[in-house]
Amino acid sequence: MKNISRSSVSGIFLIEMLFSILIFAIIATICAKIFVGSYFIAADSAKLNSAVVLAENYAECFKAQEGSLAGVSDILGGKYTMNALENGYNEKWLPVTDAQQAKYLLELTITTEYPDCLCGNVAIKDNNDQLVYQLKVTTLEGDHE
Amino acid sequence: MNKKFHSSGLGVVTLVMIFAVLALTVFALLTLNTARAEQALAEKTALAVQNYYNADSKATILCATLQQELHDNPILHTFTWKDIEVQLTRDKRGIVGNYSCPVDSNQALAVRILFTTDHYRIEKWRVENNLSWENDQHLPVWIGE
Repeated sequence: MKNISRSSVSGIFLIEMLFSILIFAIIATICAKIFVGSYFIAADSAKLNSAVVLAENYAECFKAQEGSLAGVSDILGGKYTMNALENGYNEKWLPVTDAQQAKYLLELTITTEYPDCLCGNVAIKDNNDQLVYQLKVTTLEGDHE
Repeated sequence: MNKKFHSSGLGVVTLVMIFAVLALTVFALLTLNTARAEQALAEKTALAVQNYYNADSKATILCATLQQELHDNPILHTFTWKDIEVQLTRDKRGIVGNYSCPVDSNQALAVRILFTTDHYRIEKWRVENNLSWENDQHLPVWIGE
């Protein structure tokens, strides 16, 4: 009788243990998915925040330099042509000279849609050519104090 | 001896599992909630920056347009451009133009520019609240009655 009771208790304990492990495994899987999803959402938010700050920097430099890409390049770096400036950034949003290492590409293009004004379009794309953030800025040409 | 078997840890595993699952679930949901709040804030910030620069661009283009219009027609009193009305007043320094470009439903970029014969000076370029509010002067303190 004692032996039957002992094996019965061990069996129940084993079933309880297995059941607990099963439930825990299911919940842990769901929670792991939630943690991973949260990580990616937070990474996207951090990327957007960094892109906004960078675009603002370029926009303000563009305004301060009255549309001079050479002036913007002197302050923030980047290669420029007649009406476009490009600069690459790595995953930590630090400027890189080698385009192969760049994870993000910033483009500042100038258009002259209105007289006496220079319109700049700051676009930040990732290396999959997906637009992260875009900002349009306009500055004045001419004499003002 | 039977008593010893009955108190041999049956149910403890389930209790530990319940505690672990609850803790894991709570932490996972808190992490997800924080990540979503951060994402909402980042998107809101990005939109606010875009709205500001849109208003800033409008104000800049209007400034240049206004300068051209005043050059062509110096006796101008009011001027409207894309639903933005400019109030023009004259003082001893020159012509003063006042206008505001909407940033969002609650804010507008208020601009005041002084136009003189050969140049112009930006006297105000500031985001202001549209919403009217009143100070709450009511102090519910006990006066001894």
